[in-house]
Amino acid sequence: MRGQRAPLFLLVPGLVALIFLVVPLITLLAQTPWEAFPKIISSPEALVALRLSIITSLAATGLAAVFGIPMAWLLAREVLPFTGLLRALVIVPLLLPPVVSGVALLEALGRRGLVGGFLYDNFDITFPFTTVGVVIATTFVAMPFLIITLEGGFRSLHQRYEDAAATLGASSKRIFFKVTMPMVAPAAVAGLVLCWARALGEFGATITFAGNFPGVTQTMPLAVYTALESDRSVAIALSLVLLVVSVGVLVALRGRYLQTRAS
Amino acid sequence: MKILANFTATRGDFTLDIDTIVSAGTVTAVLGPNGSGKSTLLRVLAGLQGIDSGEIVFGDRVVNAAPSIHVSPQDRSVGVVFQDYALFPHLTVLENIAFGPRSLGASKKDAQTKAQSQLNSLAIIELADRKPSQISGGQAQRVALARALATQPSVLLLDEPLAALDAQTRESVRTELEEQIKAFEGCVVFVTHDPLDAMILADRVVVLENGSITQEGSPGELAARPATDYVATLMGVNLIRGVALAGVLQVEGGGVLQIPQQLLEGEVLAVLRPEAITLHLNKPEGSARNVWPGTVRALTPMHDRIRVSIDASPPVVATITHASVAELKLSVGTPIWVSTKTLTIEAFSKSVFAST
Repeated sequence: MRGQRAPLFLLVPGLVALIFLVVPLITLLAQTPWEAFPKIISSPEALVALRLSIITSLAATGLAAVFGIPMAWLLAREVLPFTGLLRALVIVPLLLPPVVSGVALLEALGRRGLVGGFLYDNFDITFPFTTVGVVIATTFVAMPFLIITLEGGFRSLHQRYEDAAATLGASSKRIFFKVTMPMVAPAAVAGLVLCWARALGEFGATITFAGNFPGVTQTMPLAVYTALESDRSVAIALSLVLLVVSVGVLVALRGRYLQTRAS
Repeated sequence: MKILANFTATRGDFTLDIDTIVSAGTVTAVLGPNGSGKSTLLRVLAGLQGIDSGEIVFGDRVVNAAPSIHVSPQDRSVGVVFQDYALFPHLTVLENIAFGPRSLGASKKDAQTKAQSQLNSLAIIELADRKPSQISGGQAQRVALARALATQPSVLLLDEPLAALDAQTRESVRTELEEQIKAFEGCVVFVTHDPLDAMILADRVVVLENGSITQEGSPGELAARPATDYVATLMGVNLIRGVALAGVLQVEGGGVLQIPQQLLEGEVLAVLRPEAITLHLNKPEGSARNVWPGTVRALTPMHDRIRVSIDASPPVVATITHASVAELKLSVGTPIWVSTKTLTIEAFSKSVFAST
């Protein structure tokens, strides 16, 4: 509270926004079939989807870390030409409708795609409609979250710490792992959690690129979508699991989003 | 060992142009206003920034020779105390100091033993397990110095080592820093904008203005013979340029002064000490031969007296007591007579600086 009274013309629409955002979530909780809940989420179909979701989202987050963290560093230090353009390109998947990402991935990595065709013809490797395809689609959509968050972290880290480490004789590898990364740890954790949350919720690119096969490419969001057509209560129960995960992410990042003003 | 620095380094439209020698066992202060290139000079010596022409030699080792040789900071054997110290916030004090030896290949145990002995010699062993956020500014300064010295560098560079401290801590830390850097056997170069730090800590002062060295010498030489307005202002003296002939100085920009150096001819610099200037409301009659009118432009209180800036030909600064200001009822715009005894003026030929 900052002791300021809100004028009505801001208060009313603001509260409408709040109600609009919160009511569906409350309804979801209210509609949850609590008696059937344990049975639904322990059913083989649900467990398979949950397991697949966790494995693919963690794999995507791992890939994003291995390749995205170096990319974030390159952008922050502006060592490549046209950094501004590159940053824009990296953000595109963030803004692109996920289904478009899926189509783009098919064109690139599908059996008749530019790269995918080559891999299929020469090495008999296919990505679409496989679990690896799910990981690829999810990484494509989720990695920009990690890159953008961490780039900010790298940028706000003052150069003099890395300079100090260099004058103390540390190699560039040692500087990166012993000084740079520990100092941007909060941004790295936030970026990884956001990336993972986005990966876990991925739907459009996955269903387009990898399809919807139970046990192979049917992740939790796809299972929810499928269940909605047959058994509503199953869809609600599975949705609740994803909602709990989202709230968990929010709690984990409370330092970023739950504070009242910027520190 | 000696540092021989003769180079230019350009960044954007700023060029640093340096030609100087630093001897081992001496402490050199680089004194200059903000934006003069002091920090750039330090970064270049540390190897954190390259040069565009010329060379830098540490002892018999060429560390920079444009455009082909650039020895990285890791391999230069320099210790740097950064402005605001740049202690690693995620490491303890002990780990900060052990970082250098560890980077150079010492085992974890050896590095820590070394760090402990550093902390012991600086009498701050009790800080070993604290994080940098849990120690005071003065302590951080000591830790930063200990960290820089832990790799046993042959060159020690300090960037504004006392600027981050408040006035009270400064005094005590300065005394301590003086002992430590005078005990250091290699070359010490520190950058400061504070003439007091330069006067107390340094054997030799290099004045940097707009990227170039404008004067070099001992603190005493600078005070006695400031070569530029910047140095004169820092030393608190009036510096007057002009052309001398037979004891008369025609001041650049107007005015005439009698000077005691009868034999001096040609372009000269004259030093007028502010405390040797007397102010009068009416034209004084007496033995003072230099008397000229002006108006008060500004009054600046110092701790025990007041600095009066006077618009006149030549313009001067006088320091007088609070009582005198009250007695003369001085305020901005007051018409005033300035006088000074001829014998208090020191004039010297401008050419003495041409040799540096």
